[in-house]
Amino acid sequence: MSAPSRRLFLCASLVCAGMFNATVALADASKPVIDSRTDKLLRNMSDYLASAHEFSFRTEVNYDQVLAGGQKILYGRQAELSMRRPDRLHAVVNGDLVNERMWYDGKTFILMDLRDLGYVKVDVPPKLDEALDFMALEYGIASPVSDVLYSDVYAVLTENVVTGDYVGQSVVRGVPTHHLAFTQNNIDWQLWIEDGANPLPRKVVITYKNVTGSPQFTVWLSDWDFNPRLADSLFEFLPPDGAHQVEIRPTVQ
Amino acid sequence: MSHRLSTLRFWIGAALVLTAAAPLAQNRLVIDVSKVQPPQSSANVIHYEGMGSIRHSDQRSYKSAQQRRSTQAAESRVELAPAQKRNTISAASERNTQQAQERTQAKATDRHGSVRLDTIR
Repeated sequence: MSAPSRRLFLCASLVCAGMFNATVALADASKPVIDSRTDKLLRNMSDYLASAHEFSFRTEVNYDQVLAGGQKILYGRQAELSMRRPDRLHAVVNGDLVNERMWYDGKTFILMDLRDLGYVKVDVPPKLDEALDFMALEYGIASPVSDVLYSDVYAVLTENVVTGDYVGQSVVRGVPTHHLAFTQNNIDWQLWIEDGANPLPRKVVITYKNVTGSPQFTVWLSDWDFNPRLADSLFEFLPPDGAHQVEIRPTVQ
Repeated sequence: MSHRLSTLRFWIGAALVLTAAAPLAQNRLVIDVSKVQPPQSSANVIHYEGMGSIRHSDQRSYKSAQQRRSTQAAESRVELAPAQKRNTISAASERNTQQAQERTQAKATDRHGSVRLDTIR
């Protein structure tokens, strides 16, 4: 090879190397940057939840409502949730603004307002994961609590994460926990996972930082029961006297 | 010969700089992604009680899920209930929000009689 050819070859090689590095850097930029300890704790929690065939738990929620003038009002609600993988879910929710009951039996999703007994009934996919996505995408019904109901909680929680960090140890209502913090494009969220043999989610705080007033949603999760002996009838909807079906319209066309 | 060596040194140096800069660029890009990207409006999505799940709070989730959904849309699309049904959840949701605001005003006024309505609206 002549000298000019060698020089040309060398230049081309270096340019290619530079482009490769830049491409790798760009590709990696879309990957979440999660601290290894945080990642491990999140995986342990996800595996622990996934190993359960059925379970029940209670939640206590506080959430901000930002009024037009910017004032924040804190509302609350409590819920009892029961689920059996892969296709059963039941929830009772009572709070300042809601008094509802929900059933999912692998075929339909039913949400009843217990105040006036109006209910909606929607045909949904046969697996809970898909049903949760379906209700979120079609009807905008996506409670933050639903994040821990998926079969692979780790994948769901990290899907849009930009960064994840270990904050430290903390006690949540008497339970020693690990405090983790994550950022995403639209939200920041924090998770407290029980320390020890039962790595359960004990508290979640979501900050909707791109919503006016940056409202927060806080949920405490308690009374976890992995042997609840749930009756089949719990997931069956039997309309009470006076119940009437109402229409539900998709929010995304 | 000397000229060729200095040219070679220049290119080797450039390669080293590029290689060293890659991790820096990587970190920089991670930071920029979270801070520079414009807010991704979810105005077209009505969250349940205004609060979305972690999974569904970012556009990327919606897009990926919508892509998955498009493959099964034909069989899983929900038939709308007959139009003669008088109520809709959307309407109910709007009504709830309005009632909530009214309740808020009423509560605030009840608790603190001096609260002026124009500060709540």
